[in-house]
Amino acid sequence: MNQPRSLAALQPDPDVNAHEDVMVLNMGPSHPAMHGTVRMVLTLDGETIVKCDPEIGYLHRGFEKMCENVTWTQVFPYTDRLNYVSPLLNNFGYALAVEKLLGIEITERARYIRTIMGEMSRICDHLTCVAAGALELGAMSAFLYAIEGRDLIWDIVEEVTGARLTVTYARVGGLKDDLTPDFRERWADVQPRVEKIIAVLDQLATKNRVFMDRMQGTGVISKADAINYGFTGPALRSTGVAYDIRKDHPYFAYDRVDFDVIVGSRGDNYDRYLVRMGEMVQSIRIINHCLRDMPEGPVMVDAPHVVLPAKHDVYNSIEGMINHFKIIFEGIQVPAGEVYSFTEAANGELGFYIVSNGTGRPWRLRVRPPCFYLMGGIDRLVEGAMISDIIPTFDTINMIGGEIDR
Amino acid sequence: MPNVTINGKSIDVPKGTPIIRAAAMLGFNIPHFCYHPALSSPANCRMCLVEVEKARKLEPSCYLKCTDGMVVHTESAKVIAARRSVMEFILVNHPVDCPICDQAGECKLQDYYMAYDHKPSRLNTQKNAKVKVYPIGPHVVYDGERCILCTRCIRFCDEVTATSELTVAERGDRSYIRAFPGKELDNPYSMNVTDICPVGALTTRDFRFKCRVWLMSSTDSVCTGCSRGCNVHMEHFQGQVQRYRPRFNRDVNEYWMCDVGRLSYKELHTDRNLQVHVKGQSEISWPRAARQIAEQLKQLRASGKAPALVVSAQASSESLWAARAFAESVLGTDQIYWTGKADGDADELLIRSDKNPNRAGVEIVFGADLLANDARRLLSDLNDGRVSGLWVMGSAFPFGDSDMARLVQLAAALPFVALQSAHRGALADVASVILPAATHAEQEGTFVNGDGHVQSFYRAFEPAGVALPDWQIFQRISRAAGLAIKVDTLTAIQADLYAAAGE
Repeated sequence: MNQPRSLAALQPDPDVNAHEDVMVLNMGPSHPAMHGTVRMVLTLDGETIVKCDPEIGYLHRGFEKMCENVTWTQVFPYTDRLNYVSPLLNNFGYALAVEKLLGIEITERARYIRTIMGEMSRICDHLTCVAAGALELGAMSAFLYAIEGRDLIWDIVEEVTGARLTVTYARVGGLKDDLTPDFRERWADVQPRVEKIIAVLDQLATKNRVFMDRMQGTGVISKADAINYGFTGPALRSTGVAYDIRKDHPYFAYDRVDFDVIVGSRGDNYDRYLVRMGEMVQSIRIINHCLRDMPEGPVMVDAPHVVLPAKHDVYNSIEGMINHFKIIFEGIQVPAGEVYSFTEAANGELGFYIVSNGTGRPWRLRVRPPCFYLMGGIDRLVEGAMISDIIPTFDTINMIGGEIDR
Repeated sequence: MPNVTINGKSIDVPKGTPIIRAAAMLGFNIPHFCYHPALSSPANCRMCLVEVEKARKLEPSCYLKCTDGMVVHTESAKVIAARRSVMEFILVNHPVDCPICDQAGECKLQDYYMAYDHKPSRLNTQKNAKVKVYPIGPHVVYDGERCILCTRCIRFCDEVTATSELTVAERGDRSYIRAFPGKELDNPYSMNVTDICPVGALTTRDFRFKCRVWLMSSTDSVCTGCSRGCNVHMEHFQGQVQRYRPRFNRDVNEYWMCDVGRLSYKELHTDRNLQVHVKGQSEISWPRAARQIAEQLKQLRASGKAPALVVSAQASSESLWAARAFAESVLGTDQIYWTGKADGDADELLIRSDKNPNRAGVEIVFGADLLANDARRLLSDLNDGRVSGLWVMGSAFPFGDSDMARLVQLAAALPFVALQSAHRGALADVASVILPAATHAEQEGTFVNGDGHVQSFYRAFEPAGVALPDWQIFQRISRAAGLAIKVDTLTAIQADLYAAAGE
């Protein structure tokens, strides 16, 4: 016969530590700090992170598969949506890859314009990253300043490309269009305002005690680990490795402009922040340098099998009509072969591995998004740290859902 | 056998082989407009010029026969330059028509311009204006401006149909194709000229402005117009066949097909059975209908009134095989008739008098004895009261109006008439059960043509409505009756069928 259990048996044993067991906590996928829809499965011992298991795949867009079903030119709008904070850099990276496959060299002016517009996009990307980081640590005003700077540049981007974000500005063989006639004046107006905003950001955050305490010494990765994990971009440079594709494997007009590669030393969140702040200043330098040296001339190569003919020829000559028809309906005929082409996007190395079977559509297109490798190493950055350190670390890693999940 | 060397590769070719053929054997494509493998070579387009060593100038590769020791270059700078010039010359008077031209997307001019020319126009004079819409025959329209005067159409009428309706009229850049006075392009194969026309000058009235070619998908199929079974590209868009184009088969139809067959795709979409109908019930699903019909068949069989089976020479061999198994185990009858379309005209080229694609299949599946049990026998047996019910495959009967009316009248008096057919036909009005079947565009299978060639056709799109392939209908009913016949998959049927036919 069962005896009723005594009330004392239900009392916790004072000798057992209630916090001995670890707790598993799902951070995200819908969490305000997990921007871009990602889930971190955290194993916590109190507030200390024992294990961090990032899970991606919540924003699957089928980018690579879609590319196999459209012409080479129709891929451009999809690339806008990879790292959607700096769409121009993706545009140019993809265009460069296809041009390598085709074996064509773009015109001098197009090289300079791609450099200028790419650096504008880089400033926007860094501004957004730095601003969002400050915001998540409580500095709302810093965010508003930075976003004003981004909007100033987006106004110019909009005038040149016709859109603020979905730009689709590059074409295989050059660019959709030349810069606007008043581009120099517009930039001369915007440049000091952006510089001032960067200075304000610097004043607000760089020496801010709260900011420094949250950023310094958190999210640390060693030089060797960063290299082993395939880190590139600001995250790698913050550890002291001066690897910048613009310097080490120059493309477009980067071999003709002066700029410094900003490096950190500690590989923590604070250094990643400082690298980004420094790079914005360098980007402005590059833009000014390009504007000084940029030659006049066409922005598309003279290659009728790649470039659409002028509208006048399309409507008035059978040659132009056929040329237009074939490029639009069957796509640019890219010779069979494969290529890996890489450029320095805002977050690091953006690579396109493309296989062509000689038709008007990519046979296979694979993107190497920089933040995929950064997210692959995020557990190294946060394990052993406090749960609150995830916020600045995830921000300076700058994962972009659109390109990590593709 | 002469040995020629083309671009460094050598090959032995039969005597009399033109260079263009020898090059094709080696995998070198030489662009051409006027050359066609089934026609003579006038060498008038000059697109296929190649460099032959020891010849003073470039030679037309479609015309020049290979001789022993000949050395040919098809991609040399001189040849490429000649092609560019020829292309530029041909385009001088070509109208800016691509957006309104049915050929756009499958046009040799477009292909070769992109492959060889790439030059903007140097023309600063007016293009020649010609008659743009000239009805050259009952099925074909001619556009003089688009024509590059390759004369393929003329040679087709001279050499293939031997009707010789067409010629070149006028001279120089005023030339155009015309029928001789008092004639028009009206022969049973006239629409083939639109296939061999390398540009959009000749278009069929049927396909004109109907569908852009890049929107269509193409499925390999077989024409069901007669027992020749011409191989076709069945080109379709959004579940509708848009046109047939002949598909090369050396043993059956070569490059051609007849006009009647070409237009026979229209029947596929007319007068369709889309739903299952059982008399006295408004709407019924396949499973319910199958159960009810199975029950009804069981009762009929028990009372010794099993319905006779009427198979169709329009059905695939696989469906006929399923029908045979169905008659044995489900209907429980050996009273089998066959039907199909009435015989018609024939000629020496392609058209056969037997207008059914698979009469040979009926013979193989049911034995030659069945051929005596034709639709006439069915009618007389019905008349004599020797048929107590009917299970009819297909809606085609070789009857005129009065005989058909008689058939319908006699069938109406029967207690059970099942019509298993893609098209309604006359019997649908009196049938107690209508089972929608798929057309040959909507299923896979084989036909056996009049010469005994077993030819596959493939599914182009989903069946309309709730239609099913015939063999699947037999399968459903037999399963509902608890007498599952061995027709589980198409490949299983084919294995059994070929084993039986091989005996």
